[in-house]
Amino acid sequence: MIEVIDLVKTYPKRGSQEKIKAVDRVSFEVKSAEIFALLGPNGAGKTTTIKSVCGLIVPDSGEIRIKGFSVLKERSRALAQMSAVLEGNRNLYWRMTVLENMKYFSGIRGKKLTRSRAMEILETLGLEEKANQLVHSLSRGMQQKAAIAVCLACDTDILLLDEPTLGLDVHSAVEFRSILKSLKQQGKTILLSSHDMNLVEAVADRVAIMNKGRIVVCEEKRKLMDVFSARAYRIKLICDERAMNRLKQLGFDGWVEDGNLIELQVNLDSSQRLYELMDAFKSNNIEVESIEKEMVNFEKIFISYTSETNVR
Amino acid sequence: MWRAFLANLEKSFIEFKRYYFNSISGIATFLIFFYLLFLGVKTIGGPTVDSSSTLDGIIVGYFMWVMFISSFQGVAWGIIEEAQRGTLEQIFTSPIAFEYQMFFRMISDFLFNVLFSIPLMYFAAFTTGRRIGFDLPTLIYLMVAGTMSALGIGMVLGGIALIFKRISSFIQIVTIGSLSFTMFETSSLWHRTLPMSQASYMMRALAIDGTKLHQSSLSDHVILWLVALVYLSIGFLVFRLFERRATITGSLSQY
Repeated sequence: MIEVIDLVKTYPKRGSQEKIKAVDRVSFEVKSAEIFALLGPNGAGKTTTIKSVCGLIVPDSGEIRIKGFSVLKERSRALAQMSAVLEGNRNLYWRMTVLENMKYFSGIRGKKLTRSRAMEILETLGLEEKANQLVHSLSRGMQQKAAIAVCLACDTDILLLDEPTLGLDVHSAVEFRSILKSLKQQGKTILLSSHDMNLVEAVADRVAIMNKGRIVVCEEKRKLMDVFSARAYRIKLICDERAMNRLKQLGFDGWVEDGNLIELQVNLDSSQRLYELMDAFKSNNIEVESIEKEMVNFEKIFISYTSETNVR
Repeated sequence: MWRAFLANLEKSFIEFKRYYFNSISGIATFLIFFYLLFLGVKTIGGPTVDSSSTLDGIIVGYFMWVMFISSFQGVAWGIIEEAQRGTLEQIFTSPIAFEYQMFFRMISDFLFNVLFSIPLMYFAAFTTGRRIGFDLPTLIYLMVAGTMSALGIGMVLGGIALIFKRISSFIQIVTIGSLSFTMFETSSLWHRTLPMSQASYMMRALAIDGTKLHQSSLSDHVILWLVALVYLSIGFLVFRLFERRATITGSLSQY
């Protein structure tokens, strides 16, 4: 549905001849009816990537295709395949009603939106009672939903969402996740950029983690979670300071003291490392109180990848 | 395309209603400035003012100037406002090109201007004891052709606004400058090639001399349409260049 191939975008650095690489040889593909998340810290290049896909930024090189249409060469046909929410509630006219916004934005794409279809969309988002309310009178969460309603009114299979949960309270963010899940069930393909780990963990099928303009990892979310959960252990030990120092010398870091117990949080990326650890426990007479496989959340995966220097 | 035009027309109407205070004050300002100008010329000029030409010329000239500035300012302010609101990029994601969206919006604004300014012009003439000597079809013909060149200037300013965002001082310079080619009468050819000048020139001739539209020379009509098309084309071309520049620098939404 969406193909991004070797995308490069640089910006001139203010006051110098230097150029900053905002996006550096980024490639990924979004398949039909999946939620693909671009995850990364501020300045990672997520927004530049998503805006390039929308045709709002012309890349230095690379190719972007939407359903086979090149955004650069067949802009109009490519853009007709997708709709976007780029700046959340700022995308809307605040002195117009929700319905008026929906009609306007579908109209400027050359589409007729009937009232019944508009109400149908609003009902799925729980906004039917707000149809004739001015956008500025809605809560932030409602405005965000209204932005999605506008996007759906454009009646495209592909939705692009840039930081869709930015500024939402917890309840609205949770509600928003279920909206995205239901859109996926309706067959929509969603490309979203976010630094909201909870959102990505809850809804994404595949994730590309970006850092410093490059994709660090691009994988199915489930696989990423499996890889990390297979390695992470939380081991509670009863040992003295000398034994603890011995383990530190062997390179096992991540100590948390809890009264008489000492907890070691450790990533064991090979069986060999596990054996080394067990040997160290045995040779130093360290008593193991418990071993737990650690629950992995996306935050840990994200920090692990973005703190590594190697990039794809 | 037609739906996009209707959507923009409907939006102009909605905003006219919703920002009614601004709409009403715009109409009031139109009349107040006119009366100040009219009375100023009458007072300063005294008996030396040729009432049958200068005063009628002021009505027509002022009216054309207001049409001109509201047309070219519409698109420039429109882009600045959209960038401030955050809706500019959303419009850009439409498969119908942005310059067409702006063009549709300018036509919508033009229709609203016509709807309000024609009755106001007759009202202004009536309250100052003048009589406008031409019919409605003639007026609309000249307004359409004249405003096309103003739209071209609007597109150029809109393009500049895409890159530089804050261009209010420049808009003011163009606004004041445009007085010279809409309000002051001259028949020199180079002057008539300025935007809207030919339309003002012909309208003044019709209003003051009582010339009928069909009595205007063919060259007058040719100049009228040629100027309109040239400025409109330049406007589209320059707008596209600036638009392209904004997408390369990624500065569309940076206000």
